[in-house]
Amino acid sequence: MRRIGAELALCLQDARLRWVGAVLALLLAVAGLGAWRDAVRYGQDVDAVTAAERARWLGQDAKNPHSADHFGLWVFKPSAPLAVLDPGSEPYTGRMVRVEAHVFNDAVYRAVQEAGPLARAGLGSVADIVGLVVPLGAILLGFSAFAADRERGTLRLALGNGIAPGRLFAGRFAALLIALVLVVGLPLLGIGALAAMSRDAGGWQLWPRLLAWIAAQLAYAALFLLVAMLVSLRARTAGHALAAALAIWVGLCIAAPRLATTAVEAFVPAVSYREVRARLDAEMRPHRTAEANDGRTREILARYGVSEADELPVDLRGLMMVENDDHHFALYDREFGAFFEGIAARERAFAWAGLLSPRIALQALSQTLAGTDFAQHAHFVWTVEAYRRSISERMNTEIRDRPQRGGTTLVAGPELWREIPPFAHAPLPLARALADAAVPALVLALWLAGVGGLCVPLVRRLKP
Amino acid sequence: MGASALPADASVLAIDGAVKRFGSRTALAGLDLRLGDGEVFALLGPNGAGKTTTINLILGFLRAEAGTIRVCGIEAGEDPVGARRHVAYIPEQVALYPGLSGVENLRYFATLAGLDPSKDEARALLAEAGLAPEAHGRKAGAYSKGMRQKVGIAVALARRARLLLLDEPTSGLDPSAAADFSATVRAAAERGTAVLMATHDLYRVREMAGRVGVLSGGRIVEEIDPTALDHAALERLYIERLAEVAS
Amino acid sequence: MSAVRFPRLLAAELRLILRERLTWAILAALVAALALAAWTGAGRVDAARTALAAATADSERAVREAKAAHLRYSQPAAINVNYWQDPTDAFGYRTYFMAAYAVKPPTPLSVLAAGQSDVQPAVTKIDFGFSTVFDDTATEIGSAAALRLGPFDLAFVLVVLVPLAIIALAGTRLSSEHDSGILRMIAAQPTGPRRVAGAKFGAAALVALTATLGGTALALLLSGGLGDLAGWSGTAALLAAALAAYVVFWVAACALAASLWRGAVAALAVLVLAWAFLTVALPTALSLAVDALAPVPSRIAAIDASRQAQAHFYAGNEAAAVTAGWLEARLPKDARRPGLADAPELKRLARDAHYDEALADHHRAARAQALAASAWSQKLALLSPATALALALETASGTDAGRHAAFLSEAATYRRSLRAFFEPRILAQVLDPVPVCAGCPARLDFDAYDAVPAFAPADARGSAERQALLTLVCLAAAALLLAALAARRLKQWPA
Repeated sequence: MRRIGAELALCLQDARLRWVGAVLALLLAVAGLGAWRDAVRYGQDVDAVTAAERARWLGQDAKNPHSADHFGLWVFKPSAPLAVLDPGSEPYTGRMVRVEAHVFNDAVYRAVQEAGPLARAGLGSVADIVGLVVPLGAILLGFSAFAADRERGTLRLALGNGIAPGRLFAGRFAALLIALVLVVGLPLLGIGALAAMSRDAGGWQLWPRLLAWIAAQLAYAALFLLVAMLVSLRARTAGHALAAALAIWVGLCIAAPRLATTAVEAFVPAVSYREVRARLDAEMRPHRTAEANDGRTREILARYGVSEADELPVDLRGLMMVENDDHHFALYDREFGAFFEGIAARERAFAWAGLLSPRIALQALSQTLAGTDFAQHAHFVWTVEAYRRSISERMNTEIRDRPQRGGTTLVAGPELWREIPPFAHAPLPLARALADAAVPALVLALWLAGVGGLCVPLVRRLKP
Repeated sequence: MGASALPADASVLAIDGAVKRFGSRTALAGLDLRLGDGEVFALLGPNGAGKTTTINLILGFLRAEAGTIRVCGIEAGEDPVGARRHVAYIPEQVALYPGLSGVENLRYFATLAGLDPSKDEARALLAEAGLAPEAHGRKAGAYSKGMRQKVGIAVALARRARLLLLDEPTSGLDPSAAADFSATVRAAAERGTAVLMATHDLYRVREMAGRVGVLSGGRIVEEIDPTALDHAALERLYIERLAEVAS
Repeated sequence: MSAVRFPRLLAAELRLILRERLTWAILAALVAALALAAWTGAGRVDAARTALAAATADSERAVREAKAAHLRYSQPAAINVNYWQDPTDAFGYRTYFMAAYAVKPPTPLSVLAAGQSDVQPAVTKIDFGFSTVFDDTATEIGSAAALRLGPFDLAFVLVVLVPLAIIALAGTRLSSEHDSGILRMIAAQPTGPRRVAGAKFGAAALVALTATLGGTALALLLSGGLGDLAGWSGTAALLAAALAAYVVFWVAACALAASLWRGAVAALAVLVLAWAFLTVALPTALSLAVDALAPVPSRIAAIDASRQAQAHFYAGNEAAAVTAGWLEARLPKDARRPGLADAPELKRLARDAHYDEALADHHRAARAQALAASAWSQKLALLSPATALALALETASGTDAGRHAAFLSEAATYRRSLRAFFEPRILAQVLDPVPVCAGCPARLDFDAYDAVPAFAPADARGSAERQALLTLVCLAAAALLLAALAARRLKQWPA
């Protein structure tokens, strides 16, 4: 402990730590506070428009339930509270869905559409800064750990006077890690706490999520600290150590992630959304023709053994709409189910692609813990679809079960509208997130173990 | 104390009243030095006496604040490239491109000097500088200090420089390599090259130099004829001069 | 020293740089990266062409099926064809059957940069349905992880990796000689630092230029992603020149770093930090500036406005009143007759016009913002060599934000032209609903399928050429400035 204290004191005196800490704190604060401000504003807008939509739904005039189904409403995806730290998939997925009869509408208006051409691949979010800049900070803190002493000759002096290399390494690593926790962990905790306390976080199990999230970021930072120290164990001079560590940073944090994109796209093929939509259209088209409609009408009349619609115990239009929607639901389930599963498979492949670069593993792990992964989006999309179906089903059965004779149309009123509950969206629970996080966490742990393992023999045979 | 009787225009090197300061520290305080063809002059002095500053001034890397430094009549401060055309310099640590062979290194440095020796010519020059033929094609990364110095000499030979500047040439050489190097320098002097060497090595000074200047406090405090003294006397004299200046 | 000898010096430096194993490793990695990027680019262009072909095929299919329905329904039959099932009716065809697309075809140089193409679909179906609040509703869901990490396209390799390759190749020239002591040997030769630096960095520039331009050309040829360059060769040449200027800029940056005489490590650290600043930090700052200069209007406010209009339309007798008002503006007094406002088709047209009017300000603001953001981005991008080159590549690829904003406007205009085509026909049919064929199940009032206006994509060539030229000028100026600064600092050898 005394050794760690001494090393930490040395470290705290180093101007490098102050610079790295100041730059990181500044970047994290700017990105975090900007995201927090946007999140608060978006949350307020969503709350206001959701209340307005509910009022519009309830305030509809008396009308045919199918018209109400077409009138529908918009629902809005609540942003995860920890999106302030890691927006994850959120900017790349739609935020608003028009709920209406017949159609499984897309979630539209992705933030990235508005982000402008310069925003991509930048340092827009706290997670981007952790992914790109924190490794650089860790490298700047750790590269000189042994190489500088070797260059000065003090390593020869220390080893020659019986200091155990293992204890030297452990002491330095622990001290630098504590320093890194101070300059990275504290700002993250501050921003996370701000996000947690200022937003309604019902259902998010926010504090365990936040702590797990910060632990993942620190593990990533520690990994790059280990990388820098590993290089430092070998390098002849501090300069060589810095150059080698920077080269590794470029490879792991800049080049490998995009290579992984190409690799995953090549090895995990997925159908395009356009093709899925086209296939759905092609399947629905023959179903929509007058002839098909006529055939179905005749089939229903035959099923009930009658020859006129007015003789049916149910409303023909209502029944046909129920059956029509059932047909569509099955199609949507099959096509979109397969499509979303395809994307989920790609996302899982990215977690394994973390073996190419810890930045990819961190991305997968971090967004899963923050609740901003694609699974959360898919969950939202299907929740909205379930809500849409519940409205359609209620409206259709109302029509079906109140047969109108002689060509009159059923008119319903606010009592029916009130039967539809407001849209409620509960996020996927933390337990699910933890299960999804297993692979990227394992991959990150493998990186840590691998780099740590490489350090062991070098420490044992530390050359002065 | 006059450094030389040679007139300025006849000297290969003529330094007159050179002054160089670094901030408040005076490195050279009016240095005078003359060197003619075939002369070997050793600048003896402790660390910080101004030996390296003198060499830097001759090479034009630094400009004197007062006085003149002429190489073959060319003022080094005003036309450093022109002055360097007549100078070959062998630093204390001759560094070569480790990935290139001796021949390739020689040809590279010759190109910088505006020459284009063929491979055979380069081999001949290396041999003349004393590098064993089997080493010519080997990567310079594996060369000893002595071997690297020989490549440096070969560059000087290729350039037919009139002035050879040697900075601590024998430090770090084993006795046989140092003796070898002394012979090479003497041979160069016999061919008419003027040699200025900065050194601590009193023993080799006696072997190589025709004239020795004791540099202290930024000027030559005594010029000695080394052939007139034995090694112990030379050492005694050197220490006395330094002590006088220090007091 | 005569000038004749400089080429010989340059040749010596070239030999030196080409003798290093590291050089070949860097060049091999660079060429491999270029080849891979060109291959992914070719795949992307292929997918874009497939999407376009699918849109064309779908449009043709819609016309073919409508014509077949026209033929089928031209005979008396017992079935009932509702208006939403009737492609032989102008309203039915326009609203439920027509497959009209606005498309942004790839340019011959599309292989260069993915740009915005992964988030902004190049094909948008013109629809007259409920959901159209904005022009950019078309969406193409894909892997968010891939979008976050970004594509491995040529723009990435050229803008981001090429400078790193150059830094690895040239970043320690002179400064590593300084560290190892070779510089003393070099400096002792009768030659000045500018000539030596000129030769060293000139050789590095020659190697980097050959590898980058040659590698890119080779990769493009091998990938097969390049289109027919007829009319585009000027843009391609300007881009090649801009790329060359970018390479020279980074080599000059290496020379400037060397001229600090602080050793190889300091030079490398300075260069990598400069690279991180120019390719990552500065673009982020510029993007924040664009956000501040062209703030995004609220989508939610627009959706709220659309819903207010919708709720208003369906409240009480508003629908009839709005439809009557709509008819008043379109029909002479003597053509109006009672009950006309109840025709579902007219109600629908009036409703859509009502929505459009309610959203007009929001639409205008969104379009103005998109154009302003792309205009500001174009200006600010020139402040960093990396964003300047990226923008030139994206503009040549036709995947830039500016083209997309213009495309969305064109698509909106196309939608209006389709409405202008159909509205008089729908109105005429409602005013004079005389059956074309007695006993036929469908209306058969529309068969001008082939006369429906087609979308004419705008030519992206002009802006591509302009942007490439602008980028070339800026990059060349930046490269010259750095080279001049380096030359100024390299007046003297370090002591």
